[in-house]
Amino acid sequence: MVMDMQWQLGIDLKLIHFLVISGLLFCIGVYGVLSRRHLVQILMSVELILNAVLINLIAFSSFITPENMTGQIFAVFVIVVAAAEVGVGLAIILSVYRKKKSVDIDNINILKW
Amino acid sequence: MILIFSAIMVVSARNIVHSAFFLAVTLLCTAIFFILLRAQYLAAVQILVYIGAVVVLILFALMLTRTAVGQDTNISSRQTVFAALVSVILFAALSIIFNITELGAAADVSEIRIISIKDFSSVLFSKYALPFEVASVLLLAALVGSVVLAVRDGQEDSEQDKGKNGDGNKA
Repeated sequence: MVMDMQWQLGIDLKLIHFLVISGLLFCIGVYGVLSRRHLVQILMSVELILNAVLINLIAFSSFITPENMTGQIFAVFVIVVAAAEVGVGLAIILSVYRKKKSVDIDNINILKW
Repeated sequence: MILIFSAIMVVSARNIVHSAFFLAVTLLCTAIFFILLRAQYLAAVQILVYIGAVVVLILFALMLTRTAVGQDTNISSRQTVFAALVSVILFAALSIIFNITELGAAADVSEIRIISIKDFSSVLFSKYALPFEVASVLLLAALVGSVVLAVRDGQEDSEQDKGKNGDGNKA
């Protein structure tokens, strides 16, 4: 970890590049959540959104405050919460599938009144 | 660029299994970004947790819910235009905000100091020890909750146990 390799990239990557990438990823995730109808695919889009947030956190942590690494610690907790969310979400999807025999969100309307 | 392409393929692939594999590619590219940002530990965690556990868990869920593999089952038609509109507007707003914001650090990515895992762990276990414990309690609650949700009928418990091992190896 100590070896400090100086990468000679073609362009010099600044903070704004990471922010734009993360914003694009976030918007793609939002599009996926809004447009897909399969429950598992919605969960995958949520994962995309969480990854956009992670890139953002680590970029700010590395560029702005590299000395107290708060962003990286926070990113670890985001990963923990994302793992828990995927586990519980897939369990809910399994039990919904067992009840309704479908994973299409248009068929899951038992919460309507 | 591979990241953006594969992320678009995640939300637009017709076959949902392809979509899951493109999700794996996207997560791998995110890990590469972490390495580029000199966060090696988080890149390792990303590969282990996301590609090792989350993608496998999603593939298991796809297998269990018996989606018609190979067919274009879930092409949404009605909300696509609306969703694309929302996401384009969101990205435009983000771009405007990026333009008008004064980003203090004009530093190059090659000037970032590498954070050693030793410093990272000493901060994590001393200053942030209480949130760490809370996170482990959250993982335990998620484990118990998902097992309770998934084995209501007393069957198919082995798959959830597998998923929980994937979650549990973080804590």
